[in-house]
Amino acid sequence: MFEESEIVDLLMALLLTPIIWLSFRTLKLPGKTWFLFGYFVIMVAYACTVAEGYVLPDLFNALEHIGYALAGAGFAGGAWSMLVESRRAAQR
Amino acid sequence: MSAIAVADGLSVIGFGVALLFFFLLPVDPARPYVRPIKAFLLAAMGVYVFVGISNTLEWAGITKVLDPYEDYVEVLFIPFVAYIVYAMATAQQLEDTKRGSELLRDQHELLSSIVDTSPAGVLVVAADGKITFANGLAQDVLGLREAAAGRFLPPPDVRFSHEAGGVTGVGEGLEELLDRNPEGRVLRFVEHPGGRMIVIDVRTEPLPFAAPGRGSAVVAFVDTTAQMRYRQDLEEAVEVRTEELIELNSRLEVANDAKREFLTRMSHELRTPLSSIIGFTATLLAGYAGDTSAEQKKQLEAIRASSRQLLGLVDEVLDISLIEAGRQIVNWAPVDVGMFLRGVYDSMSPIVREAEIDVELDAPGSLGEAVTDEDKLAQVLRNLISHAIRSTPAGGWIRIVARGDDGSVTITVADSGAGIAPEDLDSVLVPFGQMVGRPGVRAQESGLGLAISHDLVDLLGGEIAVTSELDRGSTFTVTLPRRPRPRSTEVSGAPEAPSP
Repeated sequence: MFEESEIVDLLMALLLTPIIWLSFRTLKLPGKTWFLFGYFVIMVAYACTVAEGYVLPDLFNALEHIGYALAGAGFAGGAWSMLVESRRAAQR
Repeated sequence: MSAIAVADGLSVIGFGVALLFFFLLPVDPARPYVRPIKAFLLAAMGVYVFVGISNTLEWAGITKVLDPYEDYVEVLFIPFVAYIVYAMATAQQLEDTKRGSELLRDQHELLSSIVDTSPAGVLVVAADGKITFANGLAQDVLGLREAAAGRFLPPPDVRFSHEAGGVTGVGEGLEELLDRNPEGRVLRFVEHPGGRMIVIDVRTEPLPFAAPGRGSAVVAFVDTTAQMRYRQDLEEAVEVRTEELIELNSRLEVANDAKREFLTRMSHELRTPLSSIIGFTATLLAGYAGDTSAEQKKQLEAIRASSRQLLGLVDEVLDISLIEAGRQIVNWAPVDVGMFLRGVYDSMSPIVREAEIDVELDAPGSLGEAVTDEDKLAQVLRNLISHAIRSTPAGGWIRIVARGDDGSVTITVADSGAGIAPEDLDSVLVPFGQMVGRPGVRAQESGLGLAISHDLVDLLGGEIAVTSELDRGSTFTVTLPRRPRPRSTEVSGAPEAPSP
């Protein structure tokens, strides 16, 4: 059983990702890989949420929630890199 | 507790930690646009903190009150991320632009300092001929006036031309210059009212971003007025000095001719009474004019010896005068060199014996013939042998060695005498050059014998060289062609060991 909001989330992510990518690739950002990983895992989680409504609901549900946990770790890693770099720059 | 509940808990922790780190990010007051970006970062992380907490509460069976709002909150995450990334990229572009502007300003200030302090005048002429930039020196030299920012007006009364006294104004002159020489180096004259004339060495270079055809160009110049004046003064001075030297040389030639003529006449005039003195002395010594005492004979012998010495000197003066005047006549004839050398050697034998010097002649019979003037060559060799005798003390040696090849004959006269100092080598073959302080040379040296030898060898188309070392002797080498050809004389420094 799928929900409309989950479809909207996935569609919005798919539509905005190319635009986000065009700006993101030009960024000189510490922890860029971490952010990329976090964003990618969120996308996968969105896909799993939608898939959950059609097939293997327990598996895809679990994957969705694991995905959010991994994305949290990715964003935390990216944020840490930014914090360290900004403090290093302030010391310089 | 299921894996999903653990994952939700970890999700809350992960996004919560990320939220905390973003919260701790410092905000530079000089970059206020970082503040909204930071706010959106916190909001984006807050989305999944909220979702995680909602799920955890639900799994824990505490409450489901947040569940209806999850969808509305979660849908905000991707737009938040899109905004954050776009804003960060824009901020980065802004930073880069700002840094670029600062760099450009620094470069501009550096360039301005260089151009303003440059000893060259620099100006930029636009495609329409208008002057858009001129440094201080360019304004001063060309008399430019700054009418507005980036616009300089040339004065109407300053002339600018490719030659002194030109009639072109500065503006037209620059246009003409760029039309004819868009890239290169030329001289131009700038004439100010009141007669102030400046010569400038101009270089032009089209600006790289100028349109095809005659576009904007940089014109740089150096004031070369002082160098030009100095050059003109120098050229004038050289011209005046050259004329003076030509006149002086002409006067010297006249004086030299007069001296030569005087020496020739004087020598002729002296020869007659000297010959008479020698003749009458011989008559008195022979007793034709009556008996003479032993003391009188002794005195007469001294008169005859001195008269002969004086006659020899007069003859040498006459010889050198004739050679310098070009009045020596060369009688070319084939000469058997070996026989000729033996004759000269025999004629000198009495003098050599008297000096108690060991003389050796090494002249093989196979030397063959050379076309030369026998009398003059004999005079050369007598002079060289006489010099060697006078330079060599009793018990010393003299070697006369002759060798030949197909084209030339070389005669070497070497001695073990006093030698010649290196600083005197250059003057030893010059008239009277060897008279100045030559140690070890006997007093009767006139100073003309070697000079006459040098000139005669030159006249015979050969060359003479001398090598010597003090206290170890000298070696004179005469090289004569088998067939006569005119040659110059050469003097060299290092002594050579004489052949036995």
